Amino acid sequence: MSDVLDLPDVDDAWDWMAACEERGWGDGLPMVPPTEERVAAMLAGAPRVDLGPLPPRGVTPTLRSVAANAVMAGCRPADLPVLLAALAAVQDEAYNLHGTLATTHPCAPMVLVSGPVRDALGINAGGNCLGQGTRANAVIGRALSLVLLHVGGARPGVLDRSTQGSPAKYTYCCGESDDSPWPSLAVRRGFGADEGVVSVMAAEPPHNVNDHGSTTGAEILLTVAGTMAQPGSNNVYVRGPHLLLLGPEHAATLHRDGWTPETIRAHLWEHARIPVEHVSPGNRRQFVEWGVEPDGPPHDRAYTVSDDPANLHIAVAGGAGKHSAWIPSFGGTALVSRRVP
Amino acid sequence: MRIVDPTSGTAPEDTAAVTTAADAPAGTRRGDGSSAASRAVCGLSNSKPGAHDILDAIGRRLADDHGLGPNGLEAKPSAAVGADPELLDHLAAQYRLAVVAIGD
Amino acid sequence: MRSILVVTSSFLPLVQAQATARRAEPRLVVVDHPVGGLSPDELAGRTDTAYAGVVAELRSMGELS
Repeated sequence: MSDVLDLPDVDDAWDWMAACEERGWGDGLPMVPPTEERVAAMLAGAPRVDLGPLPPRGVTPTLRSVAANAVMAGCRPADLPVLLAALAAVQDEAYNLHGTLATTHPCAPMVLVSGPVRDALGINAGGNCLGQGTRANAVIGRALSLVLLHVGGARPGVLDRSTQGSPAKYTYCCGESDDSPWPSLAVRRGFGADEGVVSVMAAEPPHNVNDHGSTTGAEILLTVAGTMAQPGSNNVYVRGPHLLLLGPEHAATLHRDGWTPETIRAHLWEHARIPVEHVSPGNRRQFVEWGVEPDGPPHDRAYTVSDDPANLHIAVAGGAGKHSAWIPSFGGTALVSRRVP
Repeated sequence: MRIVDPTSGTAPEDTAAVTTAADAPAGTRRGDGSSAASRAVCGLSNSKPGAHDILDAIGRRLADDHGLGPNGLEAKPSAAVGADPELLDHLAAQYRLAVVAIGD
Repeated sequence: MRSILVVTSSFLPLVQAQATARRAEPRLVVVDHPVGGLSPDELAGRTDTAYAGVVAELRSMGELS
C-alpha cells in the first residue's frame, strides 16, 4: 500500500498547519511538510535499522515514515541516525514504551547523546543544553516524540493519558559534556570514547539543584541529596532509574575533593532519604501494598530513592554556573543506551 | 502536494486477534461448556488505589449473592509495568473468569 | 479465560483504542472516574456500579441466571 498522500497544494504555512491539525498530526507547533523530495533527501545515506512495532497502535514504522517525521520536526539528514538509535533504544523491552506512553505520569523520552556525533551535529551539551536555542537538540527530541505520536498513536487525551504532561514532551534532548572530570556515562557503560551513543530514559523534566554557597563536594552532595528526597517522585515507590546531571562547575568541585561517580552514587544512596513523616499515612499504606517500606532505626525511619544505588546514573552537562539537575524517571523504565548506526 | 504519510508503517497483520469475551472461551473450556479451571472468578488489579477494594468487594458479593466462587484477587506488581505473562498464564489455568480493573 | 474489564470513564478511550489495535472486543463496565483518593462513601458508590455491571455481564455470558 502506498505511503504517499496527495494533499491539496498549500502555499500558506498556516493552511498547512490547519491541514495537519485536521488529521490529528503534530505537537501543536509548526512542522515542515514531508514532501517526497524532502523525505528522499533525508534518507540519502541513511543506515539500515530494524525497527519493531510501536505501541500503543502496534504499527511498525518504516524508514520512510521515520524520515517523514524527521522532516516534520525540522531534522537534517545527518540527524537521522541519532533519531534511529533513540527509536531503537525506546523499543528495548526494559524501557517499557507502552507503559511510558499511556501513563498519567508526565514522563517524556529523554535523549542523552554522547561521543563525537554530539559535536558533529552541533548538539548542545553546554549552556542551556536542556533549553531552547539549538536546532539539533530541538529537532531530534521532537522527531522522536512525533514518531511515537504518529506511528505509535500516542495521542494526548486518548492513548497518552498524562494528567498534566510536561514541556519535555515537545522535545527532551541534550548532549553529554566533554567538560567532565570523569569518563563519560557512555564510556562507563561500556562504549568506546570514539563511539556515538544515545541513552534514553522515560523521565520527568529536570529538577534544578541550585547550590552557589557550598565550597566542597560534600556540601554540594548535601544539596543534591535534599533535592532527591522528594516524596512525590515515582522513584520512591515504583523505584527504577534516575539521573544526576551535574553542571561542570559542581562536577569540578566534586572531582577536586576526590569524588568519583561511584562514590557519589554510594553517598547519595545513603543520604538521599525521605523521612517517614514527609509521606502521608495514606501513601505509606499504599507503598506497603506495593512492597515499599522505610528502613533505618525506629526513631529515624526513611524511604530510599529507588531500590538500588546502581539505579542512579551520573553524567555531566551544562555551562557556567552553580546548577545541576536531578532527573527522576517514570520508575517502570530503564536507562537504555544504543550506538548510533 | 505529495507527502509521505507520517503515520504509515506495517500494520500488525501477524498479530492474531485477541480472543474476545464474546468468543468461545479459552482452551480450558471443555466441550460440554464446563471448565477445567477449579476456581470461578479472579480479580486482577492494576495496582492503583481503589481498584483492589472494588475487585475485592465484587468477588465477595458474587460469592454471597450468587454463590459464585471460589474467587481470588491478584495485582500487577506496579501500575507502571505490565502484568507478568507467567501470572496471566497461572490465572488462566486456575480461573474460569477474570474481572480486570483499569483506571486511576 | 473469559474476562470483564472495569474501567474508569477517563480511561475508556485508552481501552477502546487498545482494543481496536488488538482486534479485541472486551466486555466493559464503565464507572465514574476516579476510583483513587475517594472517601469510603464515594468508593462504595463506584463499587455498587461496578458490581451491577459485572453481574449484568455475567448474566449475558450465561454465568449467572
